[in-house]
Amino acid sequence: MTVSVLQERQSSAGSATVTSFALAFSSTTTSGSSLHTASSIGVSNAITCSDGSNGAHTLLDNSTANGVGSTSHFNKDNSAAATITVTTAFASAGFPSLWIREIGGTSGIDTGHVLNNQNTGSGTTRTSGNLTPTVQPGLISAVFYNDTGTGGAADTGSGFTASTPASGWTFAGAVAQSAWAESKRYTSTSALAATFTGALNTDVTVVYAALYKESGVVPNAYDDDFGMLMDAIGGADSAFAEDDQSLTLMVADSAPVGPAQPPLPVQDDQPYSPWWEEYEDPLVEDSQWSGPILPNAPPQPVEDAWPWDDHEGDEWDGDSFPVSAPVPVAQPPEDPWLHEDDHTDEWETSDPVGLNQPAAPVEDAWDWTESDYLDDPPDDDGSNVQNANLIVSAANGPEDAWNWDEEATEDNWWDDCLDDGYNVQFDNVIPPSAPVVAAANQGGGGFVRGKKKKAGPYMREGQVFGEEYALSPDTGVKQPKALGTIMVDADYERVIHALMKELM
Amino acid sequence: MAKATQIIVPPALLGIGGLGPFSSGNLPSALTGYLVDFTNDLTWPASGDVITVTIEQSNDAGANWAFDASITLAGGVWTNRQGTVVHTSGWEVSLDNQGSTTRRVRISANVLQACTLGATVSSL
Repeated sequence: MTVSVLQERQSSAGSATVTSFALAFSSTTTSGSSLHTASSIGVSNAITCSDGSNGAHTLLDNSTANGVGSTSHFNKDNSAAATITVTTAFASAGFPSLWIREIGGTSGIDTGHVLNNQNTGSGTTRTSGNLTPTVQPGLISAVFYNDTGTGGAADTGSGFTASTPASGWTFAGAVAQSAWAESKRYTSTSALAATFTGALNTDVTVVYAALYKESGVVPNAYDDDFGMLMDAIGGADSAFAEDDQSLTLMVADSAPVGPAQPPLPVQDDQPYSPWWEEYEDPLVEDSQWSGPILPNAPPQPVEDAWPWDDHEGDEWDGDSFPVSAPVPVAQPPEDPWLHEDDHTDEWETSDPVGLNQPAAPVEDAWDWTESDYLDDPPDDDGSNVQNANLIVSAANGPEDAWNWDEEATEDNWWDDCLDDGYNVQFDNVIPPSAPVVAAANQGGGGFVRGKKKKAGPYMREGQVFGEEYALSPDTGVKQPKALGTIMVDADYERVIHALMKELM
Repeated sequence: MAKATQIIVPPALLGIGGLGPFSSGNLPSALTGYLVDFTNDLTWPASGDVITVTIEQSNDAGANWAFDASITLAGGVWTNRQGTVVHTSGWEVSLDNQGSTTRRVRISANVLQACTLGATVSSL
């Protein structure tokens, strides 16, 4: 909608002392209009302006110079659609005046407004002074009062439209017409001024002016080809003149905002410059930064298993954990703990907590130190043991064979076992193999202890000597002849020793 | 348009309370506004609000009326631009020229202090 003056009226009074002055618009105002009003009194008292539908109007400028009393103009944007009566109020004063104007097709007042009070000798042309629109198109709205009131007629400025009646009004008890108003729609952001001309060189005059933005104008403009395109299409519509900076890149590039707003384009894989290489957070993997963040971003790669013993004492670093759509990621079993290193670690929460929290890794078996099962209950309350966390683990392989031979002779053989056993679980317990005698020939003769053999658990290799003798090739002395080799365990060895003693 | 008298309310001592309305006939279609000329005398109160005068207009020959303008006159001596004491004061109100032949105005008052006041309404 083109910005324009929809209606306006003026009222003024003379010598009588007045305290309130009201004037109604002849027609119902249009919703969204701006109300430009001006008021003056014959003394330099403050003036207010308001209406019953929109409340107080905003004071734009005021002047008390050159004996004009007090003169002000006001604005009210976004008026209600109503039958509006504007009231100006002040302390008792004569020569009141009130001018009211409805401006339609506007998005409100621009930043520019002015009140220019000029005295005698200011010339035959009176001006508001330059105002510079911030946007265009727009409307400059101006009113002119000849406070001297001697009836010097004035004409509107070049290109301006005079208000009705063009002959002007009698202002505040003047003897002749002495008030005029004008307006002009502009299509450039170049500075402009409202002017009135006439036999005014001996008069005190006041010019009020304000700029109003046309509805639908996008702030600030850039030259672009779209302006030329619209010129070609619109022809005479000067709003799209190429040289008036009427259109902006913002307009050309904009898209509707709201429910109908199209989705943002998917970003290309960005050749990120390696600025993050300087980021020294040890918890941040380069792979976390390898792609743009998108709604359907793939799950974040599972971090390498933490060397828990390296992080002891680390601060919780929330920033270092990647944030993305919650995608459950199974946590691989961690490397076995080095229990001797970790048993003093602080509990350290390293994974996001929430519905999608990955299963906690299975903890290693407890460190069954003597104090764990003989003394007070452990401090660990087992709160982290949940059904979902229980994973059946493969049985550990059998440990190195115990040296039964040596340990059996110890009084407190179990002392050697106190340092260990944490990995002894039911699944890990394997019954000892039955003793195997490799050589069954156990005829009378001696038993010579041999070396410990690794071939099997609990076994010892030895040779059995009998009653057969052979002559030594070197000395000719008769010596025992080996009858064979047997494999015995410790128990059998003891039995054999006992038997040998009995025999010998 | 030439000034033309439409309503005459002769000066009179007015008591506190409502007064009027006093209506015009159909106004000239070429009017650009109206003028109310007030007349007081030496008994005019010295201070405070004295009287509120209201003008209503009709576009249908008086079938319906709507508020148009008002003025509250206060106590105190009336002086012209040159500072001379006077007993007349004008009040001019513009009207859009609708070309209507059924437009009318009427005047009423709410007297706040007893006073002597007369009013003449003219079309412009």
